[in-house]
Amino acid sequence: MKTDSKREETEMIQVSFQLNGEPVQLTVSPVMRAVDLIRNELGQTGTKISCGIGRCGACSILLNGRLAVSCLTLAYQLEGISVETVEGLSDQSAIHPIQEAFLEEGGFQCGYCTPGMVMAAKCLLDSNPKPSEAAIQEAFSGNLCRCTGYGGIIRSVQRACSS
Amino acid sequence: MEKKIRPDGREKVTGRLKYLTDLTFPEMLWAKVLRSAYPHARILSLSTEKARKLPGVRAIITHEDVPALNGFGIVTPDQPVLCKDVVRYVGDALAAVAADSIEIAARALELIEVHYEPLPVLDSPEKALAKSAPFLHPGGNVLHRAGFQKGDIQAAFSQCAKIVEETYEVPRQLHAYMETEGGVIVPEKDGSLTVYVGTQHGFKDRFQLSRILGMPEEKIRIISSPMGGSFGGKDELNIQPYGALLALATGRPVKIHQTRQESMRSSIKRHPMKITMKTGVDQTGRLRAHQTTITADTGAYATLGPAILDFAVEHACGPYIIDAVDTKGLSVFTNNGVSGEFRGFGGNQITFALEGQMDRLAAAIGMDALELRRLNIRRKEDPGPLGQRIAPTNGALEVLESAARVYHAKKQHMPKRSTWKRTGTGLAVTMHGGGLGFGRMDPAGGRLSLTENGKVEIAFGFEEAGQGILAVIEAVTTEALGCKKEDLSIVIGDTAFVPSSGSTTASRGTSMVWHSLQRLKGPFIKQLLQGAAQRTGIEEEELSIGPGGIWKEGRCMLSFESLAAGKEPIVVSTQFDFPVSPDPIDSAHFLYTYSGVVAQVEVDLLTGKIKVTELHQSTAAGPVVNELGYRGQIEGGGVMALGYTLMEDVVMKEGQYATENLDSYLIPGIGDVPFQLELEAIETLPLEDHYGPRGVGEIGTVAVAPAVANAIYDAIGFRVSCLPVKPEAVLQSMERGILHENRF
Amino acid sequence: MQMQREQGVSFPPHLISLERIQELADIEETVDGSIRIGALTDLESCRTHPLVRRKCPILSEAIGAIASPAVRNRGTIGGNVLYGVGDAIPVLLALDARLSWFCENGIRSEWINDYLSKQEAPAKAAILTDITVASPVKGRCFFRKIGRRETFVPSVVTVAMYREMTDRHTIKEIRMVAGGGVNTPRRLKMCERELIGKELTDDLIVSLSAGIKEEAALIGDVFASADYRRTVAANLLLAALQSDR
Repeated sequence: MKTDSKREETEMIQVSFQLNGEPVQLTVSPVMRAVDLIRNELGQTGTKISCGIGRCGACSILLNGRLAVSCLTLAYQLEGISVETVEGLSDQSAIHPIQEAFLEEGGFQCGYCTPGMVMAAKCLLDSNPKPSEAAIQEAFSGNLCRCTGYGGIIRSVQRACSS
Repeated sequence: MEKKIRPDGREKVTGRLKYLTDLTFPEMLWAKVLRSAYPHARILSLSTEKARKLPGVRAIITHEDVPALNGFGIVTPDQPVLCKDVVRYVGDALAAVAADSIEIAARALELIEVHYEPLPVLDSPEKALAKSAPFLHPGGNVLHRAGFQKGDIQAAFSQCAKIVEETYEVPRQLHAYMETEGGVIVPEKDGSLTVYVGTQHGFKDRFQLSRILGMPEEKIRIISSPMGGSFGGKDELNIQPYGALLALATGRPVKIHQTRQESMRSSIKRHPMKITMKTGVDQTGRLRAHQTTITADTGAYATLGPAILDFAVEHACGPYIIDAVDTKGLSVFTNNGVSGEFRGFGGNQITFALEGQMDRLAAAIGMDALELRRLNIRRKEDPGPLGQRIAPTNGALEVLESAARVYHAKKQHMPKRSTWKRTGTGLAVTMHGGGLGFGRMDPAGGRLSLTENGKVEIAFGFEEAGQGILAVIEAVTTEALGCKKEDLSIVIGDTAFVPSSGSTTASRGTSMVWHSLQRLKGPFIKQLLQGAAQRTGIEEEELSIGPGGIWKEGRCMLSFESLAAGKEPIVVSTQFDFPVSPDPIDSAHFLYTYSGVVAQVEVDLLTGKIKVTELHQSTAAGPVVNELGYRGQIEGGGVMALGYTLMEDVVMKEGQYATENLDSYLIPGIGDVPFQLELEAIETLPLEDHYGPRGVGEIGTVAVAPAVANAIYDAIGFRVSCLPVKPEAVLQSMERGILHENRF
Repeated sequence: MQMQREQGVSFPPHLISLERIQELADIEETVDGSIRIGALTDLESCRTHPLVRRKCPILSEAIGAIASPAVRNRGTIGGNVLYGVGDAIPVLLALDARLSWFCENGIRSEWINDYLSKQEAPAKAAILTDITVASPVKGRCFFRKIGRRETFVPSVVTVAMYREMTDRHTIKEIRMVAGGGVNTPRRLKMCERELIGKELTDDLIVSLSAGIKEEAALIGDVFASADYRRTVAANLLLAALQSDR
């Protein structure tokens, strides 16, 4: 990453948005990547970073309910919107049924792509509770997994929509 | 097979698990490493003066700042930590910067002035072996030679009815673990160093770092799990030395997390190889002579290049019994990155060639390819590929027969022929050695304790890269002791607390956990029951271990907590070596796993594109320890191998990477994979086998490529000899006439 | 632009966001039944818009071949066109789309083919405001993208075609497009002229192969040669012609 640190540091803006239902206000460079803002400024490391160019989906989040890659989203673009990350899907007492399905079907191994996969699954099932084979393939076409070979992920999604 | 949820699962699916690259510490600095601009050059000058003046830069290190050995490498430390005179690949490091932010560190790298004198780029083994080629290392450009001979090869060829000769080429594959290399290195108040960076062998990293830093090993603590994937790629040191040197220089925690481009540039890859095989059969289909030459492009430094070549040489005749064998291998230094350890360890390359030969030979003598394999495949008591005695199992034949059944079934249900598509089915089998092999230090071990707070603590020096070692430890321990998983405390991945177990490589983890428990459980249970007998006054013989504590006749008499209260912890340890052949043949393996793969493909006649529509893997590796883990390893390995077969290639041009990120280096996406992956686990072992479950981390990747290649031949009559299969080559083969009637 | 930054190209000193201008991000039917798409409409909204789905399904299909849902949610149709090698372009060329630009002296409109031939906006500092496509009710459309894997992959070859027949089974109107990789998609006008007014016979189709390869003039890279790309473009277009004969 090549950046002109001086320029980016001198011009800061204030951004306000909802993160997992909680209001957040920050003063940051307008062109800071959303993934850095979430991971480094807010310490929410469930959102991962891998390719940095939107090709792997490890940093997938929901912006106003729509799937987005946070490595290609800039801080200023978060202004006024609702941001949902993997941390928003569970609390200490309960986990989301999608997460439960990933657990039971072994939809993960190293787990590094998993938060992105879970967000993509949520986005899919929110709009399509009984997705076809083609719809599943389409929904995860931007999320790479190197461990599972996708078999476990497909079974997890199928389990999540049958429960 | 019991379906069990992994111990690390909940934290992974919720995103709560802190990977080592997620960590932050107070006062932490960010660091970046300056890598060479040239694949081969002399360093004329290196100035950090301007960069040091940049506000926010806290330290810059060069070769002058390496206190002890300026080199690393698991076996031979021939790779400079920071180069002084010469750079040998574009990942060679020249300097590293620690700064207040990642942006400042990046800016500082741009201000470091290096003057190079470019040297000739040896971008292929052929160039590196030319008489006029400059030496990349003092000993020349050959890293390693290996070979195996048996019988009179010339005489055997002269008696063959048919001989098939082919040259196979396989690409440079990227591990593409989703978490790139990184972590935090923390200088502690007492002068020691804590290294939070993933690796496959914490103690080995500690040894290597101690050698670089000139610091006693006891003062270095390696916290090395969890990792977001490794596949062999994080076994060698990567960014640890730079983080450590900068942490010591600044007295502050230093974080490095490589970007994907940085990772591509500096990381090791799978060895590209060129393999020529000449194989002969007699009239009856018996394999008589098999001659192989292997040339491996090992890149700029040694790392595990020699061992990988040895492995390929060993597996050159795979599970087949052949009278005369002549195998020669050469591993050559070049300026093409660095090749090293990668899941399959040379087996994938050689198996692609060998199983290609089998189908070609069968066609040459007009025999069914399955029948040819059946005729020549090893039986239970046959010696291993280097003539050594191995653990006798029927694995080879079992996977072949399983694959044969699947093959016939798929052949009977071929999809309907469409105008522009052809389908085909192919099969391949393999055997794959586990452990490091004869003559290599391959110690293992573990420790079982009842802690003061009543936990059954099981500790290993293994690492969790995603493969599921935690689930294996949990399953094997609860089964061996009879306790429940909640009673356990599993300790791995921290040199301060774990015993030495050897490396988490070579499919050895599962196997060594099982062996450890077989050794630990007797003495541990005895001590527990003795303690319980004293406490309860019940005869030791009447007691047993059960969920939560000590049981008698179906009732829990004493909880682990009560047993432990007020007593010294009970600790039992074991140290042993990975089982090896009784025959002293260098690098020969003793425990093997077996795989039979059936693939079905669809060839697009208009574009030459191949789609794998079905993939079935039969695996013989002893009992399944954890169903989800086993399935995940086989399916995931299979898909990684599909990538290797159809699309993955780290393309280099004159020593520079043409593929820099995941937009041009493609790994399979969900759409490239059969929607339903199939497998059969063959769990039976001979009664006299005492070696238990074998690891399956690698076997799923080994025989997929040749099965796909053979399926392509079945579909369109094109013999694949070069990976990844290029649609262009497929299309050209059809232009040459096979499907002329369909062409425009 | 963020992608370029990751690859080492710094941002320009000033950036102006037009994202909040609603009028640049809507889709509507025009009086003549065409579809007007605001340049800042994100690709996924465009792909799933009922009007696009109903009246121009081929555009929906082509956009579905671009990147992934997450990226389509952020990327815009205008951005894809201005990128010069975007995968929406071949279908827009085949449908003879029009581009509207906001310039200093008002709105200017031009055929997308004219824009792509010169690769520059009609006036200095012009802003692309919308793209208008006629609903291809009278003819048949075809689109296919070939990459090195199934999805989310740069194009090696992308082809598109629009074709209208007369009652006498001769070709009334045809637009054929080929692109892929670094190749800006282009109309194959000479081949189109060869076909106008003719009946589609096997001989005619076979005879066109060399012409397509030559006129497409696709160039190669380390992943796929020029020859391969041209052959595939010809194969796909000819197979499409043959299949709807």
